[in-house]
Amino acid sequence: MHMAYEHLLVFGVVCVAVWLLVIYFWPRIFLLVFKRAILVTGGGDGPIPINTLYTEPQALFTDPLHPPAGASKLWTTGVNHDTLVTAGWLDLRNGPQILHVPDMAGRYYSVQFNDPSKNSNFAYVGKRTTGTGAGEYLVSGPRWKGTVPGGMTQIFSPNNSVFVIGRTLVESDSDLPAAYALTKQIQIVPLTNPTSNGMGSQHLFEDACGSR
Amino acid sequence: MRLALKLLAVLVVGTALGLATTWLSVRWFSSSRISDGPWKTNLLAGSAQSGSYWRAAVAIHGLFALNRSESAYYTADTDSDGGRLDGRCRYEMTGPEPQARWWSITAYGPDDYLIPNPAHRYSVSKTTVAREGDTTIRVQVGGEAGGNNWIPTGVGRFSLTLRLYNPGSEVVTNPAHAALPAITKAACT
Repeated sequence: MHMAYEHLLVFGVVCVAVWLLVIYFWPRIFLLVFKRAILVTGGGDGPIPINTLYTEPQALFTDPLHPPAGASKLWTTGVNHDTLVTAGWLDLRNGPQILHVPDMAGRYYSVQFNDPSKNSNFAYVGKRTTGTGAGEYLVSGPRWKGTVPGGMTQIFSPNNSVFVIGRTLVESDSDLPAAYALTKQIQIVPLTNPTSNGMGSQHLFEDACGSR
Repeated sequence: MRLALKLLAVLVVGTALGLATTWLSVRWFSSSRISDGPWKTNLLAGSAQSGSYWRAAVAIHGLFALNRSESAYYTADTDSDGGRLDGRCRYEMTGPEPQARWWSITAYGPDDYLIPNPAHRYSVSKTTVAREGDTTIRVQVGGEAGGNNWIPTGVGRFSLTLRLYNPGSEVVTNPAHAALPAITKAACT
């Protein structure tokens, strides 16, 4: 009889321990899966380097059932057939990154900034929130204290890791090339000279953008 | 030896029961699912809830989803009478056009992938749908090729996802009573 109570106790402890472990680790495991899909597997052209954005190729949008060899399954499971996807992982420990968006000419798009530690969206750039004009957005980590170059809007990230997901509307098959040309211009570049008066870094930034 | 075996059995059963109850409780807890006719939506997707329990629930129901004001998602796996959507049947989807800056309705197979079809048609959208009058849509789901207002479904079970990009205010404030199209079974083979 004494033995049976001990077993019941072990049983209860195991149940509760499993419960707590799953609740705690589940979201973190999901997160690692997504991080891996970006930084290790990528969308078919190999890994997507940190602090860069990957643009979904036109071929994948046209035929989402035949992704490039080596692409993560996350690019094709449950995907929409409405928008071209942009994705990347930012690391802000070494300074801010700048999101560049072109003039989207009234087209619906959104760029979502997600804090992966909480899975919470902390900022949006896009038609609903900022309009469709060209713009530069300085994404800074929680500890960064610098001067925001003139003409840029600052986005405060609560975390040094940021998951960026962009969606650009493709209205129809014939609209795909135009949508792709714009989506390709949504890019991330580092803030190269954070102590300059703004003109210098702006200039460098435009060079970086122009070379793409 | 017998004690060790007993303990092992207790450990295995405890782990299994722990996993099962966790899964059920998180799913039940996160049943912020609301229905609007055959369309179901989950208010958790894209929400910024704190706490480990919420995080686990959000991870199940749509990691990295957009906030509701940016985009709302409804899914249907039954018709308006509650029957399971079946690729061997043809359905009529009729009703008011969804209120949003842009919307689309896409069919998915049981594996959550788009359904292969020779026409490469996966969805109808605000851009491509042919309207009846100003605000009414009538879309053929499944069955034989049906032109511009047709979503092929293959022959197996399927589900439909309605995406509303920048949804109208009634979808954001009263998601259970948004005006959405009905799904009616027309014929089966």
